[in-house]
Amino acid sequence: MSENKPQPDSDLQSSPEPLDRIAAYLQTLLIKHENPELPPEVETVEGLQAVAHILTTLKEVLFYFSIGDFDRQFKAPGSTCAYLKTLQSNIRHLAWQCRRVAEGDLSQRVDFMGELSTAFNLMIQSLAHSRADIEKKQRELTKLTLDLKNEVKKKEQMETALRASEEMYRQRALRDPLTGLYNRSYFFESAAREMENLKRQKDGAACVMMIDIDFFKNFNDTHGHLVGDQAIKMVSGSIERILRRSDIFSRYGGEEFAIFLAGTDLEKGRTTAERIRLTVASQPNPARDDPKPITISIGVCGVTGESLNPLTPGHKILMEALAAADAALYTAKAKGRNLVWVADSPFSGPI
Amino acid sequence: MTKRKYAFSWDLIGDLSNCRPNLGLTLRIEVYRLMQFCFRDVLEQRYGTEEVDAIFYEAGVLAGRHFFENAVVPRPENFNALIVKLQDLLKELGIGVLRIEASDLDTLNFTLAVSEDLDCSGLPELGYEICIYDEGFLAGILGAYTGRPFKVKEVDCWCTNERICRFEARPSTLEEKSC
Repeated sequence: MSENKPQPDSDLQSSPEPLDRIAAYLQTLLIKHENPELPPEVETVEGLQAVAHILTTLKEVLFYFSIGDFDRQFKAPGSTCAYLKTLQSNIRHLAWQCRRVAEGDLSQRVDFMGELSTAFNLMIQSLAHSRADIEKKQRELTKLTLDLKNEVKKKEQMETALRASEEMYRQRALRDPLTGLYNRSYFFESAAREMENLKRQKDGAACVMMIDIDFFKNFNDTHGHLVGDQAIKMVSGSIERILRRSDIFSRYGGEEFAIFLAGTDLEKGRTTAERIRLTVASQPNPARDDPKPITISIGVCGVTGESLNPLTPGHKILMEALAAADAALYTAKAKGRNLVWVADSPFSGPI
Repeated sequence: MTKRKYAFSWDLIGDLSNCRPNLGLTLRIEVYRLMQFCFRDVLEQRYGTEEVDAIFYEAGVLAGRHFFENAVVPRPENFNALIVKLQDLLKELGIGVLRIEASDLDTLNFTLAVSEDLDCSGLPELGYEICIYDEGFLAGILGAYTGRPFKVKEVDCWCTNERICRFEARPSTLEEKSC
Protein backbone atom coordinates (compact mmCIF):
# COMPACT_ATOMS: atom_id res chain seq x y z
CA MET A 1 0.00 0.00 0.00
CA SER A 2 1.52 3.37 -1.09
CA GLU A 3 1.78 6.19 1.40
CA ASN A 4 -0.68 8.47 -0.35
CA LYS A 5 -3.38 5.79 -0.66
CA PRO A 6 -6.36 6.27 1.70
CA GLN A 7 -6.48 4.21 4.89
CA PRO A 8 -9.71 2.52 6.03
CA ASP A 9 -12.03 4.50 8.32
CA SER A 10 -9.77 7.48 8.90
CA ASP A 11 -9.44 8.35 5.24
CA LEU A 12 -12.93 7.33 4.15
CA GLN A 13 -14.43 10.78 4.50
CA SER A 14 -11.31 12.80 3.95
CA SER A 15 -9.95 11.38 0.67
CA PRO A 16 -10.45 13.96 -2.00
CA GLU A 17 -10.69 11.74 -5.08
CA PRO A 18 -13.83 9.64 -5.77
CA LEU A 19 -11.78 6.58 -6.73
CA ASP A 20 -9.81 6.85 -3.52
CA ARG A 21 -13.04 7.13 -1.57
CA ILE A 22 -14.45 4.04 -3.30
CA ALA A 23 -11.24 2.12 -2.56
CA ALA A 24 -11.33 3.23 1.05
CA TYR A 25 -15.00 2.26 1.34
CA LEU A 26 -14.36 -1.20 -0.11
CA GLN A 27 -11.35 -1.75 2.14
CA THR A 28 -13.38 -0.85 5.24
CA LEU A 29 -16.22 -3.06 4.09
CA LEU A 30 -13.93 -6.06 3.59
CA ILE A 31 -11.63 -5.58 6.59
CA LYS A 32 -13.76 -4.19 9.41
CA HIS A 33 -16.57 -5.99 11.18
CA GLU A 34 -19.10 -3.19 10.76
CA ASN A 35 -20.49 -2.07 7.39
CA PRO A 36 -19.67 1.51 6.44
CA GLU A 37 -22.12 3.82 4.69
CA LEU A 38 -21.45 4.47 1.03
CA PRO A 39 -19.97 8.01 0.85
CA PRO A 40 -22.57 10.39 -0.65
CA GLU A 41 -20.03 11.70 -3.16
CA VAL A 42 -19.80 8.32 -4.89
CA GLU A 43 -23.39 7.10 -4.48
CA THR A 44 -24.13 8.09 -8.03
CA VAL A 45 -21.28 6.04 -9.53
CA GLU A 46 -22.99 3.53 -11.79
CA GLY A 47 -23.22 0.00 -10.41
CA LEU A 48 -21.51 0.90 -7.17
CA GLN A 49 -24.66 0.51 -5.05
CA ALA A 50 -25.29 -2.93 -6.55
CA VAL A 51 -21.71 -3.97 -5.82
CA ALA A 52 -22.05 -2.61 -2.29
CA HIS A 53 -25.26 -4.62 -1.80
CA ILE A 54 -23.64 -7.82 -3.07
CA LEU A 55 -20.55 -7.35 -0.92
CA THR A 56 -22.58 -6.46 2.17
CA THR A 57 -24.78 -9.51 1.64
CA LEU A 58 -21.78 -11.80 1.07
CA LYS A 59 -20.09 -10.45 4.19
CA GLU A 60 -23.22 -10.97 6.26
CA VAL A 61 -23.80 -14.51 4.93
CA LEU A 62 -20.17 -15.48 5.44
CA PHE A 63 -20.37 -14.15 8.99
CA TYR A 64 -23.40 -16.35 9.73
CA PHE A 65 -21.72 -19.31 8.03
CA SER A 66 -18.66 -18.73 10.24
CA ILE A 67 -20.80 -19.12 13.38
CA GLY A 68 -22.53 -22.24 12.01
CA ASP A 69 -25.80 -20.64 10.91
CA PHE A 70 -26.52 -22.05 7.47
CA ASP A 71 -30.27 -21.49 7.50
CA ARG A 72 -30.22 -17.77 6.80
CA GLN A 73 -32.02 -16.85 3.59
CA PHE A 74 -30.43 -14.19 1.43
CA LYS A 75 -31.01 -12.56 -1.94
CA ALA A 76 -28.23 -11.16 -4.04
CA PRO A 77 -27.56 -11.51 -7.73
CA GLY A 78 -24.54 -13.03 -9.36
CA SER A 79 -22.43 -16.10 -9.40
CA THR A 80 -20.60 -15.36 -6.14
CA CYS A 81 -23.83 -15.46 -4.17
CA ALA A 82 -24.95 -18.47 -6.18
CA TYR A 83 -21.80 -20.35 -5.14
CA LEU A 84 -22.63 -19.56 -1.53
CA LYS A 85 -26.21 -20.74 -2.05
CA THR A 86 -24.96 -24.02 -3.50
CA LEU A 87 -22.57 -24.42 -0.58
CA GLN A 88 -25.41 -23.57 1.81
CA SER A 89 -27.66 -26.14 0.17
CA ASN A 90 -24.96 -28.81 0.30
CA ILE A 91 -24.21 -28.15 3.96
CA ARG A 92 -27.89 -28.12 4.93
CA HIS A 93 -28.36 -31.37 3.04
CA LEU A 94 -25.30 -32.79 4.77
CA ALA A 95 -26.79 -31.79 8.16
CA TRP A 96 -30.05 -33.51 7.17
CA GLN A 97 -28.10 -36.61 6.15
CA CYS A 98 -26.20 -36.61 9.47
CA ARG A 99 -29.52 -36.57 11.32
CA ARG A 100 -30.71 -39.54 9.26
CA VAL A 101 -27.47 -41.37 10.09
CA ALA A 102 -28.06 -40.58 13.77
CA GLU A 103 -31.46 -42.25 13.37
CA GLY A 104 -29.70 -45.35 12.06
CA ASP A 105 -30.03 -44.85 8.30
CA LEU A 106 -26.60 -45.85 7.01
CA SER A 107 -27.64 -45.70 3.34
CA GLN A 108 -26.83 -41.96 3.21
CA ARG A 109 -24.07 -40.94 0.80
CA VAL A 110 -22.69 -37.49 0.00
CA ASP A 111 -21.59 -36.43 -3.45
CA PHE A 112 -20.47 -33.23 -5.16
CA MET A 113 -18.53 -32.16 -2.06
CA GLY A 114 -15.09 -33.42 -2.97
CA GLU A 115 -12.92 -34.66 -0.11
CA LEU A 116 -15.76 -34.12 2.35
CA SER A 117 -17.94 -36.53 0.32
CA THR A 118 -15.18 -39.15 0.30
CA ALA A 119 -14.54 -38.80 4.04
CA PHE A 120 -18.26 -38.85 4.94
CA ASN A 121 -18.94 -41.88 2.75
CA LEU A 122 -15.94 -43.74 4.20
CA MET A 123 -17.14 -42.93 7.69
CA ILE A 124 -20.62 -44.25 6.92
CA GLN A 125 -19.23 -47.41 5.32
CA SER A 126 -17.06 -47.95 8.37
CA LEU A 127 -20.08 -47.39 10.63
CA ALA A 128 -22.10 -49.84 8.55
CA HIS A 129 -19.35 -52.47 8.84
CA SER A 130 -19.09 -51.91 12.59
CA ARG A 131 -22.83 -52.16 12.97
CA ALA A 132 -22.92 -55.33 10.86
CA ASP A 133 -20.14 -56.78 13.06
CA ILE A 134 -21.99 -55.84 16.23
CA GLU A 135 -25.24 -57.28 14.88
CA LYS A 136 -23.41 -60.47 13.89
CA LYS A 137 -21.83 -60.74 17.32
CA GLN A 138 -25.19 -59.96 18.91
CA ARG A 139 -26.79 -62.74 16.89
CA GLU A 140 -23.99 -65.10 17.90
CA LEU A 141 -24.36 -64.04 21.51
CA THR A 142 -28.12 -64.50 21.34
CA LYS A 143 -27.60 -67.96 19.86
CA LEU A 144 -25.04 -68.80 22.54
CA THR A 145 -27.41 -67.56 25.23
CA LEU A 146 -30.19 -69.62 23.73
CA ASP A 147 -27.92 -72.67 23.49
CA LEU A 148 -26.84 -72.14 27.07
CA LYS A 149 -30.44 -71.80 28.19
CA ASN A 150 -31.28 -75.00 26.33
CA GLU A 151 -28.32 -76.74 27.94
CA VAL A 152 -29.38 -75.53 31.38
CA LYS A 153 -32.94 -76.63 30.64
CA LYS A 154 -31.70 -80.03 29.46
CA LYS A 155 -29.53 -80.32 32.56
CA GLU A 156 -32.48 -79.37 34.76
CA GLN A 157 -34.67 -81.91 32.96
CA MET A 158 -31.98 -84.55 33.41
CA GLU A 159 -31.63 -83.66 37.08
CA THR A 160 -35.39 -83.84 37.50
CA ALA A 161 -35.47 -87.19 35.71
CA LEU A 162 -32.54 -88.37 37.83
CA ARG A 163 -34.26 -87.26 41.03
CA ALA A 164 -37.45 -88.99 39.90
CA SER A 165 -35.45 -92.09 39.06
CA GLU A 166 -33.67 -91.97 42.41
CA GLU A 167 -36.99 -91.53 44.17
CA MET A 168 -38.44 -94.42 42.17
CA TYR A 169 -35.54 -96.69 43.10
CA ARG A 170 -35.67 -95.49 46.70
CA GLN A 171 -39.38 -96.28 46.82
CA ARG A 172 -38.70 -99.62 45.18
CA ALA A 173 -36.11 -100.32 47.86
CA LEU A 174 -38.55 -99.37 50.59
CA ARG A 175 -41.78 -100.76 49.24
CA ASP A 176 -43.33 -104.04 48.34
CA PRO A 177 -43.98 -104.15 44.58
CA LEU A 178 -47.31 -105.98 44.81
CA THR A 179 -49.11 -103.90 47.45
CA GLY A 180 -47.08 -100.68 47.45
CA LEU A 181 -46.76 -101.05 51.24
CA TYR A 182 -43.47 -100.53 53.05
CA ASN A 183 -41.32 -103.65 53.05
CA ARG A 184 -40.05 -105.54 56.03
CA SER A 185 -36.63 -103.81 56.21
CA TYR A 186 -38.17 -100.34 56.17
CA PHE A 187 -40.62 -101.47 58.84
CA PHE A 188 -37.81 -102.63 61.12
CA GLU A 189 -35.80 -99.45 60.58
CA SER A 190 -38.61 -96.97 61.21
CA ALA A 191 -40.48 -98.92 63.91
CA ALA A 192 -37.18 -99.39 65.84
CA ARG A 193 -36.70 -95.60 65.67
CA GLU A 194 -40.21 -95.15 67.08
CA MET A 195 -39.38 -97.54 69.90
CA GLU A 196 -36.30 -95.44 70.69
CA ASN A 197 -38.57 -92.39 70.95
CA LEU A 198 -41.08 -94.31 73.09
CA LYS A 199 -38.37 -95.12 75.62
CA ARG A 200 -38.10 -91.40 76.42
CA GLN A 201 -41.86 -90.94 76.87
CA LYS A 202 -43.00 -92.28 80.21
CA ASP A 203 -46.66 -91.60 79.39
CA GLY A 204 -46.26 -92.80 75.83
CA ALA A 205 -47.75 -95.96 74.37
CA ALA A 206 -47.68 -97.89 71.10
CA CYS A 207 -49.07 -101.08 69.64
CA VAL A 208 -47.57 -103.65 67.33
CA MET A 209 -49.79 -105.93 65.26
CA MET A 210 -49.08 -109.07 63.31
CA ILE A 211 -51.74 -109.99 60.74
CA ASP A 212 -52.12 -113.16 58.69
CA ILE A 213 -54.71 -114.06 56.06
CA ASP A 214 -56.61 -117.16 57.16
CA PHE A 215 -56.25 -120.33 55.08
CA PHE A 216 -54.28 -118.44 52.46
CA LYS A 217 -52.33 -121.51 51.28
CA ASN A 218 -55.60 -123.32 50.53
CA PHE A 219 -56.98 -120.19 48.85
CA ASN A 220 -53.91 -119.96 46.63
CA ASP A 221 -54.00 -123.64 45.79
CA THR A 222 -57.71 -123.45 44.97
CA HIS A 223 -57.86 -120.19 42.98
CA GLY A 224 -54.30 -119.76 41.74
CA HIS A 225 -51.55 -117.25 42.50
CA LEU A 226 -53.05 -114.39 40.49
CA VAL A 227 -56.26 -114.44 42.52
CA GLY A 228 -54.09 -114.94 45.61
CA ASP A 229 -52.25 -111.72 44.75
CA GLN A 230 -55.62 -109.96 44.34
CA ALA A 231 -56.61 -111.19 47.81
CA ILE A 232 -53.39 -109.80 49.31
CA LYS A 233 -54.02 -106.46 47.57
CA MET A 234 -57.61 -106.38 48.78
CA VAL A 235 -56.56 -107.00 52.38
CA SER A 236 -53.72 -104.45 52.31
CA GLY A 237 -55.95 -101.83 50.67
CA SER A 238 -58.74 -102.34 53.23
CA ILE A 239 -56.32 -102.00 56.14
CA GLU A 240 -54.55 -98.97 54.62
CA ARG A 241 -57.82 -97.04 54.42
CA ILE A 242 -58.38 -97.48 58.18
CA LEU A 243 -54.89 -96.47 59.34
CA ARG A 244 -53.47 -93.01 59.97
CA ARG A 245 -50.65 -91.54 57.88
CA SER A 246 -48.39 -91.73 60.92
CA ASP A 247 -48.88 -95.50 61.31
CA ILE A 248 -46.25 -97.79 59.82
CA PHE A 249 -47.88 -100.51 57.76
CA SER A 250 -45.80 -103.10 55.97
CA ARG A 251 -46.01 -106.37 54.13
CA TYR A 252 -44.04 -108.59 56.45
CA GLY A 253 -43.82 -111.51 54.06
CA GLY A 254 -46.16 -113.75 52.05
CA GLU A 255 -49.65 -113.19 53.43
CA GLU A 256 -48.40 -111.57 56.64
CA PHE A 257 -48.55 -107.89 57.54
CA ALA A 258 -47.03 -105.89 60.44
CA ILE A 259 -48.33 -102.60 61.78
CA PHE A 260 -46.81 -100.14 64.23
CA LEU A 261 -49.31 -97.73 65.77
CA ALA A 262 -47.51 -94.83 67.47
CA GLY A 263 -49.27 -92.99 70.35
CA THR A 264 -51.79 -95.82 70.75
CA ASP A 265 -52.49 -97.65 74.00
CA LEU A 266 -53.45 -101.31 74.10
CA GLU A 267 -57.20 -100.69 74.28
CA LYS A 268 -57.19 -98.42 71.25
CA GLY A 269 -54.91 -100.88 69.47
CA ARG A 270 -57.27 -103.73 70.15
CA THR A 271 -60.27 -101.68 68.95
CA THR A 272 -58.40 -100.76 65.76
CA ALA A 273 -57.45 -104.40 65.22
CA GLU A 274 -61.08 -105.44 65.60
CA ARG A 275 -62.14 -102.78 63.14
CA ILE A 276 -59.55 -104.02 60.69
CA ARG A 277 -60.70 -107.62 61.07
CA LEU A 278 -64.36 -106.72 60.50
CA THR A 279 -63.59 -104.47 57.54
CA VAL A 280 -61.59 -107.18 55.77
CA ALA A 281 -64.26 -109.78 56.46
CA SER A 282 -66.90 -107.51 54.93
CA GLN A 283 -65.04 -107.10 51.60
CA PRO A 284 -66.11 -109.10 48.52
CA ASN A 285 -63.94 -112.12 47.83
CA PRO A 286 -61.72 -111.64 44.76
CA ALA A 287 -62.45 -115.27 43.91
CA ARG A 288 -65.97 -114.68 42.62
CA ASP A 289 -66.95 -118.33 42.73
CA ASP A 290 -65.98 -118.52 46.44
CA PRO A 291 -68.91 -117.37 48.61
CA LYS A 292 -66.86 -117.28 51.83
CA PRO A 293 -65.29 -113.98 52.76
CA ILE A 294 -61.58 -113.68 53.22
CA THR A 295 -60.73 -113.32 56.90
CA ILE A 296 -57.66 -112.41 58.86
CA SER A 297 -56.28 -113.17 62.30
CA ILE A 298 -54.52 -110.47 64.29
CA GLY A 299 -52.10 -110.58 67.21
CA VAL A 300 -51.70 -107.35 69.14
CA CYS A 301 -48.94 -106.36 71.55
CA GLY A 302 -49.17 -103.13 73.54
CA VAL A 303 -46.05 -101.30 74.72
CA THR A 304 -45.87 -98.42 77.20
CA GLY A 305 -42.98 -96.04 77.59
CA GLU A 306 -42.74 -96.61 81.33
CA SER A 307 -42.44 -100.37 80.87
CA LEU A 308 -39.32 -100.11 78.75
CA ASN A 309 -35.75 -100.39 79.87
CA PRO A 310 -33.96 -97.27 78.59
CA LEU A 311 -30.81 -99.32 78.07
CA THR A 312 -32.51 -101.80 75.75
CA PRO A 313 -32.01 -100.80 72.10
CA GLY A 314 -35.11 -99.88 70.11
CA HIS A 315 -34.72 -102.70 67.61
CA LYS A 316 -34.50 -105.26 70.39
CA ILE A 317 -37.70 -103.92 71.99
CA LEU A 318 -39.35 -104.10 68.59
CA MET A 319 -38.26 -107.70 68.07
CA GLU A 320 -39.68 -108.67 71.45
CA ALA A 321 -42.96 -106.88 70.74
CA LEU A 322 -43.22 -108.52 67.33
CA ALA A 323 -42.52 -111.93 68.83
CA ALA A 324 -45.28 -111.37 71.39
CA ALA A 325 -47.71 -110.18 68.70
CA ASP A 326 -46.77 -113.16 66.55
CA ALA A 327 -47.44 -115.53 69.47
CA ALA A 328 -50.83 -113.86 69.98
CA LEU A 329 -51.52 -114.28 66.26
CA TYR A 330 -50.88 -118.02 66.54
CA THR A 331 -53.20 -118.14 69.50
CA ALA A 332 -55.89 -116.43 67.39
CA LYS A 333 -55.28 -118.98 64.68
CA ALA A 334 -55.51 -121.78 67.20
CA LYS A 335 -58.71 -120.37 68.65
CA GLY A 336 -60.44 -120.72 65.26
CA ARG A 337 -59.15 -117.78 63.15
CA ASN A 338 -60.89 -114.53 62.14
CA LEU A 339 -59.96 -113.32 65.61
CA VAL A 340 -58.02 -110.58 67.37
CA TRP A 341 -55.84 -111.84 70.21
CA VAL A 342 -54.02 -109.55 72.63
CA ALA A 343 -50.59 -110.68 73.82
CA ASP A 344 -49.37 -110.56 77.39
CA SER A 345 -46.86 -107.78 77.62
CA PRO A 346 -43.29 -109.06 77.46
CA PHE A 347 -42.08 -105.84 79.14
CA SER A 348 -41.88 -105.71 82.91
CA GLY A 349 -40.69 -102.16 83.36
CA PRO A 350 -37.28 -100.53 83.77
CA ILE A 351 -34.65 -102.17 85.91
CA MET B 1 -64.97 -33.65 -22.38
CA THR B 2 -66.68 -36.90 -23.29
CA LYS B 3 -63.89 -38.63 -25.11
CA ARG B 4 -60.25 -37.78 -24.61
CA LYS B 5 -57.48 -38.15 -27.10
CA TYR B 6 -54.44 -37.45 -24.92
CA ALA B 7 -55.12 -39.04 -21.57
CA PHE B 8 -51.66 -39.83 -20.22
CA SER B 9 -50.50 -43.30 -19.40
CA TRP B 10 -46.98 -44.57 -18.75
CA ASP B 11 -47.26 -46.66 -21.92
CA LEU B 12 -46.92 -43.44 -23.91
CA ILE B 13 -43.29 -43.29 -22.81
CA GLY B 14 -42.91 -46.22 -25.16
CA ASP B 15 -40.58 -49.20 -25.34
CA LEU B 16 -37.18 -47.71 -24.63
CA SER B 17 -35.21 -50.93 -24.81
CA ASN B 18 -34.43 -50.70 -28.51
CA CYS B 19 -36.14 -47.57 -29.73
CA ARG B 20 -33.03 -45.66 -30.82
CA PRO B 21 -30.23 -48.16 -31.37
CA ASN B 22 -27.90 -45.54 -32.84
CA LEU B 23 -28.80 -42.34 -31.01
CA GLY B 24 -29.50 -43.80 -27.58
CA LEU B 25 -31.88 -42.48 -24.96
CA THR B 26 -30.42 -39.01 -24.29
CA LEU B 27 -31.06 -35.77 -26.08
CA ARG B 28 -29.64 -32.29 -25.73
CA ILE B 29 -31.13 -29.94 -23.15
CA GLU B 30 -31.77 -27.25 -25.76
CA VAL B 31 -34.26 -29.51 -27.54
CA TYR B 32 -36.23 -30.03 -24.36
CA ARG B 33 -36.15 -26.34 -23.54
CA LEU B 34 -37.06 -25.34 -27.07
CA MET B 35 -40.20 -27.43 -26.79
CA GLN B 36 -41.08 -26.31 -23.27
CA PHE B 37 -40.59 -22.59 -23.79
CA CYS B 38 -42.41 -22.63 -27.10
CA PHE B 39 -45.29 -24.37 -25.41
CA ARG B 40 -45.28 -21.66 -22.78
CA ASP B 41 -45.27 -18.95 -25.42
CA VAL B 42 -48.17 -20.32 -27.41
CA LEU B 43 -50.21 -21.33 -24.38
CA GLU B 44 -49.70 -17.94 -22.78
CA GLN B 45 -50.86 -16.15 -25.90
CA ARG B 46 -53.96 -18.31 -26.04
CA TYR B 47 -54.85 -18.64 -22.34
CA GLY B 48 -52.92 -15.99 -20.43
CA THR B 49 -49.98 -16.18 -18.03
CA GLU B 50 -51.87 -17.35 -14.96
CA GLU B 51 -53.55 -20.15 -16.84
CA VAL B 52 -50.35 -21.39 -18.44
CA ASP B 53 -48.68 -21.46 -15.05
CA ALA B 54 -51.57 -23.52 -13.71
CA ILE B 55 -51.33 -25.87 -16.70
CA PHE B 56 -47.60 -26.41 -16.20
CA TYR B 57 -48.04 -26.99 -12.48
CA GLU B 58 -50.85 -29.45 -13.06
CA ALA B 59 -48.89 -31.26 -15.77
CA GLY B 60 -45.98 -31.49 -13.31
CA VAL B 61 -48.26 -33.05 -10.67
CA LEU B 62 -49.49 -35.60 -13.21
CA ALA B 63 -45.93 -36.39 -14.31
CA GLY B 64 -44.70 -36.63 -10.70
CA ARG B 65 -47.47 -39.03 -9.77
CA HIS B 66 -46.81 -41.31 -12.76
CA PHE B 67 -43.05 -41.02 -12.22
CA PHE B 68 -43.46 -42.15 -8.60
CA GLU B 69 -45.73 -45.03 -9.52
CA ASN B 70 -43.63 -46.31 -12.43
CA ALA B 71 -40.05 -45.24 -11.81
CA VAL B 72 -39.74 -45.09 -8.03
CA VAL B 73 -39.93 -48.84 -7.59
CA PRO B 74 -39.98 -50.71 -5.36
CA ARG B 75 -41.90 -48.29 -3.21
CA PRO B 76 -39.49 -46.81 -0.62
CA GLU B 77 -40.07 -48.01 2.93
CA ASN B 78 -39.70 -44.57 4.48
CA PHE B 79 -39.13 -40.93 3.66
CA ASN B 80 -35.35 -41.19 3.90
CA ALA B 81 -35.34 -44.04 1.42
CA LEU B 82 -37.58 -41.98 -0.88
CA ILE B 83 -35.09 -39.11 -0.89
CA VAL B 84 -32.14 -41.42 -1.55
CA LYS B 85 -34.04 -43.08 -4.39
CA LEU B 86 -35.08 -39.72 -5.88
CA GLN B 87 -31.53 -38.42 -5.65
CA ASP B 88 -30.29 -41.42 -7.60
CA LEU B 89 -33.05 -41.24 -10.20
CA LEU B 90 -32.88 -37.48 -10.77
CA LYS B 91 -29.12 -37.71 -11.15
CA GLU B 92 -29.28 -40.76 -13.42
CA LEU B 93 -31.91 -39.18 -15.65
CA GLY B 94 -30.12 -35.84 -15.75
CA ILE B 95 -33.00 -33.95 -14.18
CA GLY B 96 -30.86 -32.32 -11.48
CA VAL B 97 -29.00 -32.77 -8.24
CA LEU B 98 -31.54 -33.10 -5.46
CA ARG B 99 -30.81 -31.96 -1.95
CA ILE B 100 -33.10 -31.92 1.04
CA GLU B 101 -32.27 -29.10 3.36
CA ALA B 102 -34.95 -29.52 6.00
CA SER B 103 -37.69 -31.99 6.80
CA ASP B 104 -40.36 -32.20 9.43
CA LEU B 105 -42.08 -35.55 9.23
CA ASP B 106 -44.71 -34.50 11.76
CA THR B 107 -45.97 -31.57 9.71
CA LEU B 108 -44.70 -32.91 6.35
CA ASN B 109 -42.94 -29.62 5.64
CA PHE B 110 -39.82 -29.95 3.50
CA THR B 111 -37.22 -27.69 1.95
CA LEU B 112 -35.76 -29.20 -1.20
CA ALA B 113 -33.05 -27.86 -3.46
CA VAL B 114 -32.20 -28.83 -7.01
CA SER B 115 -28.98 -27.68 -8.58
CA GLU B 116 -28.08 -28.08 -12.26
CA ASP B 117 -31.81 -28.12 -12.88
CA LEU B 118 -32.97 -29.34 -16.28
CA ASP B 119 -35.45 -26.51 -16.73
CA CYS B 120 -33.55 -23.44 -15.66
CA SER B 121 -29.81 -23.83 -15.13
CA GLY B 122 -28.00 -21.43 -17.40
CA LEU B 123 -31.06 -19.34 -18.23
CA PRO B 124 -30.68 -15.58 -18.21
CA GLU B 125 -31.87 -13.60 -15.21
CA LEU B 126 -35.57 -13.11 -15.72
CA GLY B 127 -36.59 -11.74 -12.35
CA TYR B 128 -39.11 -14.48 -11.66
CA GLU B 129 -39.05 -18.21 -10.74
CA ILE B 130 -39.63 -20.35 -13.79
CA CYS B 131 -39.62 -23.94 -12.55
CA ILE B 132 -43.38 -24.26 -12.24
CA TYR B 133 -43.39 -27.68 -13.89
CA ASP B 134 -40.77 -28.77 -11.31
CA GLU B 135 -42.99 -27.50 -8.51
CA GLY B 136 -45.81 -29.68 -9.76
CA PHE B 137 -43.46 -32.62 -10.37
CA LEU B 138 -42.26 -32.58 -6.75
CA ALA B 139 -45.83 -32.07 -5.51
CA GLY B 140 -46.95 -35.08 -7.56
CA ILE B 141 -44.19 -37.31 -6.14
CA LEU B 142 -44.78 -36.23 -2.53
CA GLY B 143 -48.52 -36.52 -2.95
CA ALA B 144 -48.26 -40.01 -4.40
CA TYR B 145 -45.89 -41.09 -1.62
CA THR B 146 -47.85 -39.63 1.30
CA GLY B 147 -51.33 -40.04 -0.11
CA ARG B 148 -52.05 -36.35 0.59
CA PRO B 149 -52.11 -33.49 -1.91
CA PHE B 150 -49.04 -31.26 -1.66
CA LYS B 151 -48.31 -27.65 -2.44
CA VAL B 152 -44.79 -26.87 -3.63
CA LYS B 153 -43.47 -23.35 -4.22
CA GLU B 154 -40.15 -22.38 -5.70
CA VAL B 155 -38.45 -19.70 -3.58
CA ASP B 156 -35.04 -19.50 -5.27
CA CYS B 157 -34.33 -20.04 -8.96
CA TRP B 158 -31.51 -19.65 -11.44
CA CYS B 159 -33.73 -17.14 -13.21
CA THR B 160 -33.82 -14.95 -10.12
CA ASN B 161 -30.05 -15.09 -10.18
CA GLU B 162 -29.80 -17.64 -7.34
CA ARG B 163 -28.07 -20.33 -9.42
CA ILE B 164 -29.92 -22.99 -7.43
CA CYS B 165 -33.59 -23.95 -7.27
CA ARG B 166 -35.05 -24.15 -3.81
CA PHE B 167 -38.56 -25.41 -3.12
CA GLU B 168 -40.76 -25.22 -0.05
CA ALA B 169 -43.17 -28.18 0.13
CA ARG B 170 -46.10 -28.70 2.48
CA PRO B 171 -49.46 -30.46 2.48
CA SER B 172 -52.15 -28.51 0.65
CA THR B 173 -54.59 -26.48 2.70
CA LEU B 174 -58.30 -27.20 2.45
CA GLU B 175 -58.66 -24.13 0.27
CA GLU B 176 -55.94 -25.28 -2.10
CA LYS B 177 -57.45 -28.74 -2.31
CA SER B 178 -60.79 -27.32 -3.37
CA CYS B 179 -59.20 -25.30 -6.18
